[in-house]
Amino acid sequence: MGKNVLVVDDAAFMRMKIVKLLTDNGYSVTGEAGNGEEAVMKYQQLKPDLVIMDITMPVMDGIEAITEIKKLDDSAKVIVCSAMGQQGMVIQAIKSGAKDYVLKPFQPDRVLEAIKKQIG
Amino acid sequence: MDLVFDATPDDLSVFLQEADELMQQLDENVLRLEKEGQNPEIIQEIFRAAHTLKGSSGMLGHERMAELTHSLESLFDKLRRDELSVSTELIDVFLDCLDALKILKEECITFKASDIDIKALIIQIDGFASGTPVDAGEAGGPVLIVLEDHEHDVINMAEVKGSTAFSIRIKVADDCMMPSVRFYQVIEEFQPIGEIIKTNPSMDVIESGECGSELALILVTDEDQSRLESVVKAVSELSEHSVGVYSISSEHDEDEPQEVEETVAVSGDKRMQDLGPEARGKSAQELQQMRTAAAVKTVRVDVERLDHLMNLVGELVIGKTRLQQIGSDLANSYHVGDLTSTLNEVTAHVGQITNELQEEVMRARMLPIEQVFNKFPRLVRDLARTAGKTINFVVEGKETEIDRSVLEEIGDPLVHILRNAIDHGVETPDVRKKAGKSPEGNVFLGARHEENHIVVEVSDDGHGMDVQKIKDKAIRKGFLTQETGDQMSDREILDLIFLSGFSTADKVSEISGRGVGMDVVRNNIKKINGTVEIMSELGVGTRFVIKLPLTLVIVEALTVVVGDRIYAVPLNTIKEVLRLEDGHIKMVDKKETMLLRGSVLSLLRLSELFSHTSAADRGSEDELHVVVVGYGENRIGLIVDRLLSKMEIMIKALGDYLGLVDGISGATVLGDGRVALVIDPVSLIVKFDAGKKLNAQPVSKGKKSTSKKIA
Repeated sequence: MGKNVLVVDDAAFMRMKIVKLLTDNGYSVTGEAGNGEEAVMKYQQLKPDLVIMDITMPVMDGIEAITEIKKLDDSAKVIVCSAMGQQGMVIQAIKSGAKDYVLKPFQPDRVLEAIKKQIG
Repeated sequence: MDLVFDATPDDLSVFLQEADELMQQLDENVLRLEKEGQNPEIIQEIFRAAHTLKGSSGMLGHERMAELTHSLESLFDKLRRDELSVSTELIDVFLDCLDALKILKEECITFKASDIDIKALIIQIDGFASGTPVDAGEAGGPVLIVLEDHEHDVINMAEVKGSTAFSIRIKVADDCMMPSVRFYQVIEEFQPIGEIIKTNPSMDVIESGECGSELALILVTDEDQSRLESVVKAVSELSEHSVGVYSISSEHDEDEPQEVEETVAVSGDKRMQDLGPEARGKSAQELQQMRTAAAVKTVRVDVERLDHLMNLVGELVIGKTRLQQIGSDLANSYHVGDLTSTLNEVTAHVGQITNELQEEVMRARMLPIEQVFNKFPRLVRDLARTAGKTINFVVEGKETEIDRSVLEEIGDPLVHILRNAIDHGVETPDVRKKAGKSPEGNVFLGARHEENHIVVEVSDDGHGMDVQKIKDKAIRKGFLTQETGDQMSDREILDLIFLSGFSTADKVSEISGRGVGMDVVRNNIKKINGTVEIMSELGVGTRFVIKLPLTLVIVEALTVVVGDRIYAVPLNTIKEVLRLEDGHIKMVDKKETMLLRGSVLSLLRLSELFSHTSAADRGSEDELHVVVVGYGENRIGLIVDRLLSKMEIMIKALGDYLGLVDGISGATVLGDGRVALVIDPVSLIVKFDAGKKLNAQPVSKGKKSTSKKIA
């Protein structure tokens, strides 16, 4: 049974790319969100196995979203995506409870490896 | 890769010789530095040695050596100017550099580049020199963790409570874009399961995102190693990781490290005052000048030349002996006239000069034993560290001079004995405390001149050897029967450890205890006509006493007649000489023995051993003599027909086609041109003991027939 993933990114193009990569590799995407607030809501609704979360987003950024999600579910698994040069933010995200990070632009292998480490 | 140096073979050998000396100096000084802290004199010496090495290696075109020594030079320049202080970490890096230098030096012999990575070392040194000792990760060198005292205290406390301190190192993959985040992840993973004592790079550096590709950290935790490994493995993009127990006890159990740090904390000026007037009075420059002055008076001579010279002198000694013989023959055959007395005069003169010449050449071949001893402090330090023991190593009599050839052979046996002392002899600090001893073990190495030989002694105050255990083991292994075992004295039993295939260690360790050691020790020492004795007391310690000849080539010997042959017995092995009288010989257990001042002395007829017709066969027992030879407490009486005279002989090897023959150590040419075999009492005793007491693995394997043939 494919694991359920929630994809969070403010750019539709990025979401599309990630969704395609996931579905091509046997994961099912249970939902998508365009900002942090939406992500928290969707997490509560869908209880995904994993969240792939962008950091810089309008309304509520990834770090805050991770904090909120962790409050709801301490065992939540979140992988953050970030652009180069944002390591300060990535560290913040990990401090907030993210399990791993991947860099944009994506290297499909790296993304899959990171997902596999979290949910198999 | 083949190396090409800008030098002739002669130049190269000079370079190597000098490099050897300088590295030896560095070796000594680094340990002194560790002990004494910021001693300007030592630092100056190290600086100078590094500088010299840099200069000559640069000249030679050995670029890597020049680079490394250049870095060392700058490091010690900073130390010299008090811009930097000595620390345990600095010493460790320095020792690594010395090891590297030795490998680089080997390159000059092999002309092949080794795969040693000096870049990493240079980065570390430069790190120290620039005052940021721990930031080597960025450029690829291994990162170090430097713990403060209070951090050690935390670890100590945790260890008392049953937790373990782990040293964890990780390296991110080359293509990892954000190593700091990976480091952060690792730390984040470890935080819930233990206490992170320190990280390198520090947390601040990691959070700032500016760090290298390696992370080292010390973690105190209740978890086991495999759990920690799985935690590390869960983090992506790591190319290497290692998780090991951080051993604080071996490095920081005693006061020593604190002492080092205290010394370091003292300011430069204060230290100069502490040093006393002599050291302050002599500036570095003056010291340098003194050295140069001494250097001008010496000339380097190839060892081979000295060896050759010694051989020539040996031949001259034979010639002298022959001349004396002819002189006395002439005097006997003809009446004493002008001619014969002039001949005797000339012979005496030549003899005297030959003696002096021999002494001088011998002296030229002598080297202070320090050449060998100097390697040991480092060895002991490393061994003690590995074994988790604290050892106070005392060396005495370094200046004792010994023949080069003996010197070359004595190193390995000493290494072995020292290893045994540290590995099996000295107990761990805990055990020692329980036994009411100081936690610090004492190991002593000393050399001294005694009569006509050199005595080298190694002793420890460890738990000693258990005679009963050795005996049981010998019986179990089939070396002895219970019965013979019970008859043996403690000392004879201790001697058993020299048998091949005998090891008393219950556990084989990395350092020693494979059972191939002690027999090699005795064989090596025997090879140079030396003897070795053990004294050991359970709970008190063990002492090895090695007696070595002053020189190998020319020895004093007693010549004896057996049948129609002459044999030479080295004087240093002869304890006494007796005249055999009727009824002296008693048969005990079908063996001939005699009573000597109340104790039983085993007898061995050389005539039987070497298959000669002896005077005894012609029925005149009381014309025989007994030459009592021995080493240590072991004695044996050699029955010979007649005693000839005491003389100096030059021992020559028997040659490869004869090889090692039991009972014979070589041959010599006598005054009248005849050849005499030189008896080797030690191997005779060993062999005799083997026949008498030991069932299994007799020391001589099929050699008996050989010796007969030769004789």
